[in-house]
Parts: sequence; C-alpha cells; structure tokens
Amino acid sequence: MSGSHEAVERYLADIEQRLPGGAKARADVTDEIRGGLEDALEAARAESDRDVDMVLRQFGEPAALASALAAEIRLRLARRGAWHVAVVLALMGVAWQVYAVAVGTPESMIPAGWQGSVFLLGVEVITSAPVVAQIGALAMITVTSVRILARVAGRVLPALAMLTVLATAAFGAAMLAIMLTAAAAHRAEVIAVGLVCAVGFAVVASGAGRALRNAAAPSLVKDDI
Amino acid sequence: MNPAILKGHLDGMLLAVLEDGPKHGYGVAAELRRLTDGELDLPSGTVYPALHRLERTGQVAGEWSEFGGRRRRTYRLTRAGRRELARHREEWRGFSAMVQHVFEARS
Repeated sequence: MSGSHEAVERYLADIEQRLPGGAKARADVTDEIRGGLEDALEAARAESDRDVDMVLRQFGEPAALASALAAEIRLRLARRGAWHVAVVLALMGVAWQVYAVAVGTPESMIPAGWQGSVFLLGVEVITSAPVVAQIGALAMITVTSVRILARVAGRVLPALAMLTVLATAAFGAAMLAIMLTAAAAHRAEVIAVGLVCAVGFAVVASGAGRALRNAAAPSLVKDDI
Repeated sequence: MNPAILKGHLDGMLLAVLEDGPKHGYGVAAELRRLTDGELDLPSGTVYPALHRLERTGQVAGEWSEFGGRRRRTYRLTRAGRRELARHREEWRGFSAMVQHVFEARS
C-alpha cells in the first residue's frame, strides 16, 4: 500500500500543522508516523478508501495524537534551551575567573557617589543572578530527563523556566548597569568586556526564552497514558 | 478494559515488547495487540508519544534507518531501560500477588 494515499497525507498534514518546533523536528515526527501508517495499511491489506479510513481511525484522533506529540517536542525544546543556559553560563563563569586573575578588577573601577551604589549593586547581582539561572536550568534538565519525574515535568517546568528567565534578565540588567556606571577611567575597558559578555548573554537569553516559551505552552500538561 | 488500570503499566509493557529486539513504533503497537489477543485496544498512534517519553528519559534509544528509500525510526532498550523493565516486572508480580491474595481470601 502506498503512503501517498490522499487520506493518509491529510491525516499527517493535520498532525504536522499542530506541532511546535522547526521544520526538521516536525518532519521527523511525521516521517515516523507515516512509516507506522504504511505498516498498518499493509498489515490490514487496506485497499479501498473505507479500509484506509478504518486504519486511520484505529491509529487515533489526529488532534489527540498531535497534542501528545507536541508536549514531548516542547519538553525537548525546553530542555535544549536549558542546556544552552547551563553550558554558556558555566563557560562565562570560567572565562570571568580567568579574566579576573589575568587582568584583575581594580577598586578604581568603582565610581563615586550614587553611581558607586548602582555599580556595587550590579556587582552583587552579576555574581548571584547567573547562579540562580544555572540552578533553574539544571533543575529543568533534571525534571525533563529523570524517569521518575517524567510525568510531572510538565507541571513544574513553567515555574523553573520563569525563574531562569527572571534571573537571566537580572543578569543582563546588572551587566548594563555596570557598563554604564563604571568609573570614567575604566569605562572603555569595562564596556569592551561587557560587549564580549553580551555575546554569551545573547545565547543564554535565547535559551532561557526558548525554555519558557515551550514550558509555558498550555498543551504541556498531559494526563495521557 | 478499563483504561485507568492501564495507567502506569504502559511504559513497562512497551519496554517488555522491546526486550526481544528493536522495533518500529507500529511494530510495538502490533505486538502489544497480539500479546493481549486484541484486548488492549489502544489507538496505535498512542505508542509514539509514549516511546518519545521513554527516549527522553533514556529508557529506549531511537535510531533512523533507510528502508526502501524511506526513513524508518527504530527503538531499542537501553541498559537503563532493561533495569527499569526488571523493576516493572518485580513491582507487578508483588502487586498482582497481593491483590490476588485478598480477592481469593474472600471468594
């Protein structure tokens, strides 16, 4: 039986249009289902349109199937975003330690007056926010990967993703505050380092955003079997 | 069959079906139906998200292969999946023995 049967392609298109993620992720899922449908049609020796319809009915409602498949895709996308956050923040942490040892961060960077308070607050946040974001990301990776948590992942993920995004936003704001308030004598140097950090930050922010977008999707909490 | 009874056992049954060797998603669904004499009448499509969940948690590994010009996805048990299957079996034996004990005592 050929998989190019019109009803089969309609069924697959119906599923595909409900799936999140990039074209590749969706094609992977529909290719897999297409293979299964071909097997099912062959096993049932489906020839007529009625046979094909029966096999498709036996396969399940496209909407229900797509929703369960979408939840799995979203959990993986959220996990991938969390990995980006965890890995890039770890690399930035190491790079910062190396920079601090090799170049150093002299006291004279701290500006006078209110700008000094903002600068020091920025330093506080820039050292703690990434740790919070890391914890959020590692917790997301854990709940989406560990078997006994697999069924609750959808329920706790949105809160963890939100925590990670907020910590990431605080990290970005602190970076900006430090760059804007550093003592004039050091400003060029601080901004240069800040711009290098901004590249890493962009990856972290996009990972955290992806994690939240997918974790917060309403279809995520599935009470399926 | 009451679907609520199935809850919590589908994962173990999927792992059991893969114990003999790798299978496609549909092969898993067909084998489940065969082993249960058609009693387990799940929509075949249901196995796909369930297999994806098992894959995400490292209990099965999926792999693409070319088959007659078409891509096919095959699943095999991982070492963690084998351990998990053994746990499912043991848990089920204990549970079913316990339930039977209570039921038989009253019959």
